[in-house]
Amino acid sequence: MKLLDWAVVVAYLVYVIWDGIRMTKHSDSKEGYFLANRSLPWWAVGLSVMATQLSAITLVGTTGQAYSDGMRFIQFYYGLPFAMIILCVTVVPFFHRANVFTAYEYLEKRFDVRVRTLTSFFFLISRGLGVGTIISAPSIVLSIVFGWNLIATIFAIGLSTTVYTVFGGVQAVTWTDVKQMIVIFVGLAVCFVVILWSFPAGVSLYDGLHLAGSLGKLNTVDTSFSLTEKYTIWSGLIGGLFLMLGYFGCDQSQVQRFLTAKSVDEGRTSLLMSAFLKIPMQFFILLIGVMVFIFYQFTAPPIVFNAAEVAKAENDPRFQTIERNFAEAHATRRDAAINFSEKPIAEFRQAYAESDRAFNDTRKEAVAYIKETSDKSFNDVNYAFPTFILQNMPMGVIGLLIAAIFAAAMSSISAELNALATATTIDFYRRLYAPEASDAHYVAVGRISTFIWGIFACIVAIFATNLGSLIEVVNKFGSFFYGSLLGVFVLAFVVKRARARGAFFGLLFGIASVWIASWYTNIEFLWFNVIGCLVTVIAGYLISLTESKRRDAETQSL
Amino acid sequence: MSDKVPSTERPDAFWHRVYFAVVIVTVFVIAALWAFSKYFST
Repeated sequence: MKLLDWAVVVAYLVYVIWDGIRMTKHSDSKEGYFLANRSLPWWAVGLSVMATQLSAITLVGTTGQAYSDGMRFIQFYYGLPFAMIILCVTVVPFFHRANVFTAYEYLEKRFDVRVRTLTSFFFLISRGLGVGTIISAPSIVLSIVFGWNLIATIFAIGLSTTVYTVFGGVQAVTWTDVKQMIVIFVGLAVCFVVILWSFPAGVSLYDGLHLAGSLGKLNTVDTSFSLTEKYTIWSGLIGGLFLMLGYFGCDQSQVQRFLTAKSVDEGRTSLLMSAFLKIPMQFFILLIGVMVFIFYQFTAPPIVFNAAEVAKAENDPRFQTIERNFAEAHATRRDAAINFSEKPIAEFRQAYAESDRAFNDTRKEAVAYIKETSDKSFNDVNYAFPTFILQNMPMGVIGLLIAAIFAAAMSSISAELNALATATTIDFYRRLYAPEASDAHYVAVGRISTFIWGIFACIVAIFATNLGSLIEVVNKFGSFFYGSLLGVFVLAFVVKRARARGAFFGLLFGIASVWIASWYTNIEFLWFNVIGCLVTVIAGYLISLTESKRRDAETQSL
Repeated sequence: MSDKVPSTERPDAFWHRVYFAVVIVTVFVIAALWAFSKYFST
């Protein structure tokens, strides 16, 4: 990285922190600090909803995934627009009219304090650990690719976000999210143009897309039905629908976004913004990954994108042989790609496909070598995009893209910290310890909670860097939770006979059923949301029925 | 809790039209993505 790149990154960090802190003046009451006085316009809330969902590891991981596996991942989002419609009809007006600060506060109005506290507790546990992962995952990648100190990277991302969230509250979160979305998309647009310019003379975008398409990299609809296949149109439409309902409708980090909207209508419009834009936006991000793939058809990519692992292995004669085979395989594939793009006939297409298979085999050999000699859980996907940026982008653009990755991380972290602080202050502190304190007192508790959660997240991030499988566990725990939590809200909104005991134990049954499914079956995680929701609703309904009968019997005996 | 006067909400009929538009646009986008992948894979 050159001085100009550093200047861009530092300018971004200074601006965002300043922009967040200046929101302090609007955050002196608890309505202002936690809900922005329910005054924000739909477009700001809508951008904040999208920014919260777009974390750094989504940005870096999905581009890497498109590079290695194509665009299949986009099917994950096919259920989102339908989920948004359901939420606009149900959750948005319910929560707005109930005048609540948290989604879980509503559950006390409908059931009792135990259900509220349990759901809020699960949110704090899963999100508290999850936000550590959101910080650690990009920090590991950036520190390895750019040679930065890992702890310093974690604190640069985690603490800078904590600072402006502590002072500015939800106003700072929302308005910085708006600017961060602009940074992310300006960065990606510039990246797209630079990659396009880097194609060899005579190779157009059209030719490049034909190359990628001929290898199946542009597949966006897989109609096969399998519970063990991660991304199909069915897992996206059904599993994704349940996941998005759980995430946008029951997770405080998203619910808090639309609670800040001026009115029910503005809240609805902010969610529908995602319904219209999310799939095209994700298509664009995945297309960047495909562009990187096309670029590397003509320019030799690193054998493995994680340079630290290559450095460890490069003196081993076995690895050197793999490297030589890889270089030859790339040269063969490049020639085949040029032949096919110049003359798209079946014979050249076949030769290109075969050369790509040979190329992938040598790469797999290198990855297998690293797994065998260094790191069993090694996954190269997340390193592809940052390594590409470092090696191929011009001065200034590198800084802009690093700022974009920081922006993606910070926009998610700030919303999570703010939501964690809100649930801690409103669902626990105010509900259980100090129900009659002043606004200034709750704002002070909110600020202290935000700070403590920020430090906690940084500490979790440091530990998570040494426990690779823990990251997976934490991510899975999130998917265990969403479906079951959604089930509790379905009981609350739809099932009139549902009672507090049914909701409480239904939630526990739902989470237990997902744990069992994850340990004893090969079912892919998107389906966990369906299982958790259905088990919670059915168990909750049946337990509620027994309670109703017990009450009827008690009434008759009296 | 808020003591703000609630603003006027649009009628349900308006929102039903918007939801219908979301469904139509989503189906169109998925179909367009499918056509995009088919076009470039052949």
